[in-house]
Amino acid sequence: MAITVDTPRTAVMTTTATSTPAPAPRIAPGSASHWRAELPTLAGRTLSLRQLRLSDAPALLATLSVEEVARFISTPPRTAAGFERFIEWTLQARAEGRYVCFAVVPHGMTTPVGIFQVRQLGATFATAEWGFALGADYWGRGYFVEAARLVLDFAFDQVGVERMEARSATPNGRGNGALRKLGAVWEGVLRRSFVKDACQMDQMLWSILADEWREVRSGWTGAVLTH
Amino acid sequence: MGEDKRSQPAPAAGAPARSWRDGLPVLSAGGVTLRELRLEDAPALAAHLGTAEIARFLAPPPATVAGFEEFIVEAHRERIHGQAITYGVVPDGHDHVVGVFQLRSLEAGFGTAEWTCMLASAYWGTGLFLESARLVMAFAFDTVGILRLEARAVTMDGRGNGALRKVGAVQEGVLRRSFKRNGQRYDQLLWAVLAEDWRLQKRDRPRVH
Repeated sequence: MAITVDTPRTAVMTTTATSTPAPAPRIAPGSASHWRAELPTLAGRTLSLRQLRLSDAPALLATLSVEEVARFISTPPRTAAGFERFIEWTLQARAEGRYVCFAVVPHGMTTPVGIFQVRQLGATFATAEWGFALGADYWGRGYFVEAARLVLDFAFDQVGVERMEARSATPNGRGNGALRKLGAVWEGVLRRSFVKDACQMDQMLWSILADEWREVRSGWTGAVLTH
Repeated sequence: MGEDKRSQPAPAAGAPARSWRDGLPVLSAGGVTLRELRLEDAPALAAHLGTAEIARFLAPPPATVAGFEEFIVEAHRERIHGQAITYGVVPDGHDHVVGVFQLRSLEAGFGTAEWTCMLASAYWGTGLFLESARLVMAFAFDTVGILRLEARAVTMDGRGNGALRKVGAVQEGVLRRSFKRNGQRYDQLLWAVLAEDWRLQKRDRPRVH
C-alpha cells in the first residue's frame, strides 16, 4: 500500500533473508521475460496492467491524491509534475531490475485508475514487497482481485519471487481484507512502523509464498472472485 | 549479564557537534569500546568472523581479508550517504575488533532501521554482546533519531533470539521461509525495539539474566 516516490526501502543488510542469489526466473512458455527492458501488458477479463507512461501523470494525480485513497499510503505527489518524476523513477528502477510498477487500466479506458508496485527487499527478488492503490471510484468492482492475481502470477512466474510481503496499516480494514481474500497469511504486527502526518501507526505484515500461490490459483476457475 | 554499569556514550569533550555521517563517535562503556572500522581491521575481522560457526544463521560474511576490506570501504561509503552505520567492537584490553554491529536504514531518513550483529564466538556468553548492544541502541535512538529498530533471527538460532529478547526487543511475528541458506529455506523471528520502549527501559531497566 506504500507508494514509493523517492527512495525506496533500501536494500536489506547482507546478513538477512535475501542475500542468497535467486534461482533463474521461471519463464512462461513462449514468452521471453524481458521485463527489465519493458514490462509486458498483462490482460485480464475486465482490465489490463501495463507499464506507466509519463502521460499517465494527470490521471494518477486525479485518482490517487484524494484523501480517501491516500489515507494509508505514503503521501503521494501533489502535482502532475510530481507524478511525472515518480513515473520516471519507476522506469529507472525497473531498468535496474529492482522494482516494477504496473498501471491498472480497465477495458474501455486508456488512463490508469490505480497502480501495483513490487520491489525487491534484499539483494535479489527472492523476497519482495508489494503495494497497491486504486482510485476510490473503482473500489468494490472486483478490479483489485483481478489485477492482484495478474501481478502475483507475474511476480512468481516471471520475476522469480519466492516470498511476497505486504504491509498494511492496522486501521486499513479494506487493505487487510483484500490481502486476506487473496490468501495472504498474516504474520505479525509491526508496531509503529508507519509514520504519516506525524502519526505513528501499526502495520499488519502479510506474506504469500510461491508454492502457496500456485496451490491457491490451481483451484480457481476463470471467474473473478468478488465476494 | 546482570550488572548495570552501562554508561553514556563517551562525549567528544570540547569538540564541535558533528554529524555521524562525517564520522562515527567512539562509544564506550564498562568493558567495551565501539568505534568506526578501519581498513587495517580486515585481518582481525577475517580471523574472528570468517568461521562457519558465525555464519551458521547469517548470510555468509566475507571469507577473506580482501573481502573484509571491501566490506569496510562499503561501510564508510554507506555512512557518508546516510544508509548504514557500522561499528567495530573492541573489548577492553584488546586493540583489535572482535565483532561488528550494523544499523541499516529501511526507509529514507532512518526512521525505521534494521540492526545486525556478528561477534566472535570466543566472546559469546561474556556479556560483551549486551554491553555493546546497549551502546548501539543508545546511539540509534538518542543520536540518530531512529524510532523503530528491527532485527531478524532464524527461529532455531536460540542464542540470537535470546539475545534480542534480553535487550528488550519484542517479538512481532514469524517471517515464513524468509531466510535461505544452501538451498534450504528457514523461518525467521521478527523483533523490534521502539524508541519509546528504549526510553522506558532506561528509566526502569529490568535486571535480566
